[in-house]
Amino acid sequence: MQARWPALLSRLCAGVLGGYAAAAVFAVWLSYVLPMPRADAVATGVLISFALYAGVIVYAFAAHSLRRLWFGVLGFTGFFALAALALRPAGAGW
Amino acid sequence: MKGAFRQSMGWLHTWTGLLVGWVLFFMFLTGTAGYFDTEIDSWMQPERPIVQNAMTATAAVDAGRQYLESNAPNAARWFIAVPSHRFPELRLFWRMSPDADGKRGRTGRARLDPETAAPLNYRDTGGGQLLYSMHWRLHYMPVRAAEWIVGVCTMFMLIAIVTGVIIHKRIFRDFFTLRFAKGQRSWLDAHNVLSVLALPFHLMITYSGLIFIAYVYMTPVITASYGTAADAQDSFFNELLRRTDGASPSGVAADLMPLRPMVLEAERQWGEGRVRFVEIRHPGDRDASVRIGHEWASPVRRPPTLTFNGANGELLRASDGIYSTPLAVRDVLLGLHEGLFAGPVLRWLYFLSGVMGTAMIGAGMILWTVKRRAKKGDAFGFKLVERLNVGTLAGLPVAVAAYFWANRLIPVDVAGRVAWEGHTMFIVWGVMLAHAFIRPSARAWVEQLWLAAAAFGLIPVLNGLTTDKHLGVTLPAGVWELAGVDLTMFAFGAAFAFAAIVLGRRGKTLKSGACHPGESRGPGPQARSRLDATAHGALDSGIRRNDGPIEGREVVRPNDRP
Repeated sequence: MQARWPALLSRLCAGVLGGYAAAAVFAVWLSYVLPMPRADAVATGVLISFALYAGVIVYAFAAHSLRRLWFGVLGFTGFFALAALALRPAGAGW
Repeated sequence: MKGAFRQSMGWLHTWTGLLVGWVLFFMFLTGTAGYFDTEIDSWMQPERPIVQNAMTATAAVDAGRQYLESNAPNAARWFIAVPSHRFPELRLFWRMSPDADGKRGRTGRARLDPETAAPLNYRDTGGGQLLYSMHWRLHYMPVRAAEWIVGVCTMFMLIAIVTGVIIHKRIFRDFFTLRFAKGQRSWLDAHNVLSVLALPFHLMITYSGLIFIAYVYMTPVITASYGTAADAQDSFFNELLRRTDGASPSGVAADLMPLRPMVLEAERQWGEGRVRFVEIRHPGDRDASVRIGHEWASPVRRPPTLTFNGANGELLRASDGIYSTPLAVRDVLLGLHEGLFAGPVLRWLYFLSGVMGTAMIGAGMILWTVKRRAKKGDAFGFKLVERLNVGTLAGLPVAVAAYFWANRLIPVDVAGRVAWEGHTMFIVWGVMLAHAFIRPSARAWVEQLWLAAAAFGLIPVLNGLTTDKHLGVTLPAGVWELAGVDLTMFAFGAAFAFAAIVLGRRGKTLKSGACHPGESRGPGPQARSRLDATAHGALDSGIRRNDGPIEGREVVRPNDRP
């Protein structure tokens, strides 16, 4: 991997910020689609969100190119954000 | 391609570990001590009589109720914790009714003698609880801020574990590989053995640590279902925990039924000595309820309970403590983290795993400096890490020992002595850090290790001079909770002395030829700088130059000979 600072910073942002967004959005989507009471679904989403977060951070430093990395992180987050938006129940916080 | 992947994972492992290593070391060390929190509590209150027969649950509820009725009438909630082996006192807790503005009522607590039910008059101390709570609350900062710092560091730890496993080729063989006195190899071996042996513990403790405050970090996920209202989190928890009662009382007075039959019913179902707590909501109201909880018996953190109607004594429902799978998974993770269910053997295993985790972090931090001393020994960053290592890896244990000394040496009647016990620990840590920056680092290591050896090793002596609960009494009486603290402290003292001897002796006997370039430490007596250099040789001896770091491409390569 490149040790140059801009590239490193880019990977850090993708992993730390993008990873958080990806994990949170995925957990929200999961909490909407799981066939269980909503409190249980939310709890399940939160339980596994950190595993996903860690996975994205690791991927951010493993991906071959920055373009692929950002495309992957933003694409993943965007996809589940849209899916969650379409599914959101009335009274949701967004 | 495979190589590049492992290289970048090695890079990530190195830097996530290094950046927050000192905080993680602090968290692991204080958290590990926390597995013996109540034992340390007892040790730190030597006025406590040695309890022979713990109070029975029925006697406890009678004594507890009597105290609460005269000291906290009209409370919204009473909580009576039944004395047990690890918590020998009768502990009471109450919360008053909300005031007119709907603010939560104030709370109170009391501890009573388990034999006479008289209020206790022991010295004020932070005890094991303060030490334990530092591992997630840190100290000198608001809880919310500490939670975020601890959370970020825990996330770093998770990344370090995941990448550590990825870069590790030979997990099985490393189980059996520990080569001594080979410098970098030995530090790497030690780091690997400590990591691999307790890997399940490290992974469990890290992930469950995140889960503890997950709802703080992942608030958006709750908001997305429950909205942004002020009580959104409350409604989430009420739904998750299937809370139905505990709302507002009826306002109609009714005498609380005797608690003893309810406790006896619980003991009939669970067995004698299995009741851990009795919780009464709205005592004196027609809607009063009495909830009886089972002792810690499994990693599931939420105990089985029986709930009775407080006004007529009728059994309302029995719960096994498992409400839903996600909640049970969470409860098991948190229960495993806390280890409250663990008996003596498992508790020691927890403690040893924690010690291994602490040592793993320490060995990793030392490995970072050993790998780089030859090439970057003069760089500012290197020196900073090296000094912080001495002041933390050796200095923090000294500070923890000082916390124990403060408990015995600060006079019992000094106001604010709890705060000063804590201050003592952090003042000593500060002094150790300053010492590490002032002294040549090789000498700072040896000096602080000797100090740690003395500070821990003499604790049983200090205890013998200041109390009547010393080894001479506790060993013959078989009071292992107290004797164990003294003996463990002595064992730590011996371990630090061993480390100091090894480091000091090798520093003297190694030829200066073992010294590395870049080792010059500025002007100073020739002899002293040679001693420094050779002591470093002791840390580093056996380093293979061609294993050295490649700029930006360091890979931790266990046993990977080219």
